[in-house]
Amino acid sequence: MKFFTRNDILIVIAAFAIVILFVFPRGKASSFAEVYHDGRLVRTIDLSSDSEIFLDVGMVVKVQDGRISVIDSDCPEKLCVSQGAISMTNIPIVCVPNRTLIKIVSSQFEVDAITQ
Amino acid sequence: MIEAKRVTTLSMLMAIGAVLYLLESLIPFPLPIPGGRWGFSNLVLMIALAGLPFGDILTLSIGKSIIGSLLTGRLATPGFLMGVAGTASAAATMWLLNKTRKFGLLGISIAGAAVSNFSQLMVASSLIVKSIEIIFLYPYMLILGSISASINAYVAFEVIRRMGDSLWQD
Repeated sequence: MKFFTRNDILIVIAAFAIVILFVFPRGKASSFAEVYHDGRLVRTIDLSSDSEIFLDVGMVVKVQDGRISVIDSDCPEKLCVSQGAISMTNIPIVCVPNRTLIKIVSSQFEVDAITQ
Repeated sequence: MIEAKRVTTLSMLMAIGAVLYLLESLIPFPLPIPGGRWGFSNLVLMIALAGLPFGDILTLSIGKSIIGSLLTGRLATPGFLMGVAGTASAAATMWLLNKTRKFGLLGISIAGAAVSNFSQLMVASSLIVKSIEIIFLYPYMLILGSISASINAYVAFEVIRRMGDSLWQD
């Protein structure tokens, strides 16, 4: 068995291409965050004013300086808390035990409307 | 290969895999994914590729996940389901790519990691979070997965180079 063949370069390039395709932020971040539970939109949060909001699923989110973070959750591992604050559209906060997802809405459509 | 040797080698690799599974859970994983792991235990799959049939590789991948998650206390959690789906699909991908005889261990390992991460996220998005948005974590998993996959490939290559014959021949 060989460690490396020329065909391996193709696999490495394909992996790079996937990363680059995904990581480029799609559209500028708007000042709204959406909270999904079980795939349904349950709440829209305005990021332009600082606040602390209790969500029914057992999570407390905090909005500060246009960034949103989960500061408390009743899930066992609290991975969503340790993820910190997000302000970009390309990575959401995910809490798998609570089946909840928080993402920043992309303002791409607003930009398109203006440029048109 | 005689039957007794095949069973012994499979058990030995499964034991090593379960221990690696336990040890790697001690290394913090920097992404917010439940049961997110580096995937170093898939090293034994790469060693098994060299000489075991497909059924045994699949048994090995699922077996090491079950034993490993018993040891870490993660059995039957969402993370465990994701792990089993990931490792089984990685085993199938790596076996197929190895069959073509066109790829080296590095490419096989990275492709296995990429498929494994993808099926983990698919399980999470279809069964648990019920949202496709979680797929945006994929590139970050892919970067981390490629790092551990490269390490796996190198270690597996050295193991096979040094003791491949004594592992697989009677």
